[in-house]
Amino acid sequence: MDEVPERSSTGPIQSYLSVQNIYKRYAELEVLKGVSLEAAQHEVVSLIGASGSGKSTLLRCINLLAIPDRGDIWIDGVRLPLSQDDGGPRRIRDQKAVRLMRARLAMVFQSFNLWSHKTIIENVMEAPIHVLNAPKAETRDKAEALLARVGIADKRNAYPAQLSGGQQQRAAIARALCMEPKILLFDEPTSALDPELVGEVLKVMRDLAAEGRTMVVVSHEMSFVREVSNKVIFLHQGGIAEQGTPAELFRRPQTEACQKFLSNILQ
Amino acid sequence: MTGALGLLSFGDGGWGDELLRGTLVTLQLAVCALALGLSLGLLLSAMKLSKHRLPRYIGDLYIAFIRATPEFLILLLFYFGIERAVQAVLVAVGLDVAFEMPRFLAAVIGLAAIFSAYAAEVFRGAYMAVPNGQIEAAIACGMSDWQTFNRVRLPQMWRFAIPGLGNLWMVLLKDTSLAAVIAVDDLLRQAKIGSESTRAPLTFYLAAGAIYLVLTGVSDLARNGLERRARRGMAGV
Repeated sequence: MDEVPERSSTGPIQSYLSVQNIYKRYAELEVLKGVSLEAAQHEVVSLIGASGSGKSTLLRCINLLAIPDRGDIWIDGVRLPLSQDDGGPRRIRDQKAVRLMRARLAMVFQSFNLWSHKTIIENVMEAPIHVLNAPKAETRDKAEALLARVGIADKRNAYPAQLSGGQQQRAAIARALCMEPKILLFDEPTSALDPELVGEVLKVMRDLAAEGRTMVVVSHEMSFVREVSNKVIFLHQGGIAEQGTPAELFRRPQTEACQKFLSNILQ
Repeated sequence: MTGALGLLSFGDGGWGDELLRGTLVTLQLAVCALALGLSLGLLLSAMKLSKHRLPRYIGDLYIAFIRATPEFLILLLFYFGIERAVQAVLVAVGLDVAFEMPRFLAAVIGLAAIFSAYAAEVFRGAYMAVPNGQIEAAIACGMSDWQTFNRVRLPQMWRFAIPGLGNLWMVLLKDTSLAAVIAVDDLLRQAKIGSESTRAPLTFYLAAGAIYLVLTGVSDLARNGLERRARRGMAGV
């Protein structure tokens, strides 16, 4: 089953995802202090850093689960409709446009967040049918194929609570793929898993990277990050301390913070 | 015919038909109050969960009033209060007709008012018990606020609300007996009339008690069934 994201056919090479100078503050705590990020189509960009460095918040700003105080986000040439920065809290100007955009940015969460009152296949079919108005029979076929692809076809009629963590996360990935997203956002997808279940989820993610999906990944799995990423961004105290290809960043980290982080996590 | 069974038999000599009719009135009261009370309770919980201060205050005030007032008194207040209020409105618009509040309706409104205040707290707890991550997942895949509520939150709220609502239904079923105070011919009032006419109070009150027991017993079975259904697929089932 081939699901290569649609390519933009015209124009000069431009970033598929462009995050420009994002600031985000929660009460007294300034979580992001002017962060920018660019991803081309078919690129995998990984965000690494200590907990509290702002990487999850940055990811959540991309689909406006968190609304940035300042800065802009462009996806495939379209700017997200946020009100102008006038000092007060910013608002979403066009709810419908944001919903359409979110439908094309699928997010995979640390805690899976499958809907516990629906079976696995219902979880996968829910948003395509009710958000994209996709035809039901077709969506069912697609959902079954995706569940087979992530290796849990036999669980289609089970409820989330009856699955292991690894199976739930694979179901969540199938749910994300069924939306035919332009960009996949992964928020620490293996952090809540028992160690022996991490591999099965990373395998699915490797396949997705290999088939050219555009992905932004927050992860602590350094060998995975190193292997699949086109670009790695190291966040430190709400800012980008360092970025580059995995080879550059992992072999020759320039900043002390990054050296320390890597030596701590890789030891 | 003689003895307790004779008194409770159907037909001319016995009070069986009256008790049966009273039971039906009791059930009608309870079911109508439940329907109205659930709707009001949902509305109240929405007010209590509102971002705005005013609806929250009104909700708090209402719930505090109901909780602090005896059920008996609430029924009287609603019966006479609504009658006076409607009368006043009629006079104000220049209509010179005497308005009499239908007793059954007054009892339903009063019982629903009590039920709704407690149900609101049950709903509020159930609303907050739905895991936030599942709500975020719905928003993240592009659902509108209404879809998120209707397709993700509401279907799961029942799972958390049914045990509490089941208790409130039991209380409601028994509170219907208070309607006798505004002369609604419910089960207890029929039993009272029977006992006073025949001077066999214990027979009638025991019979009424047995009927209430059957009603609550059946309710409990229904609640268990609903609870199992709402917990389908949850851990530990």
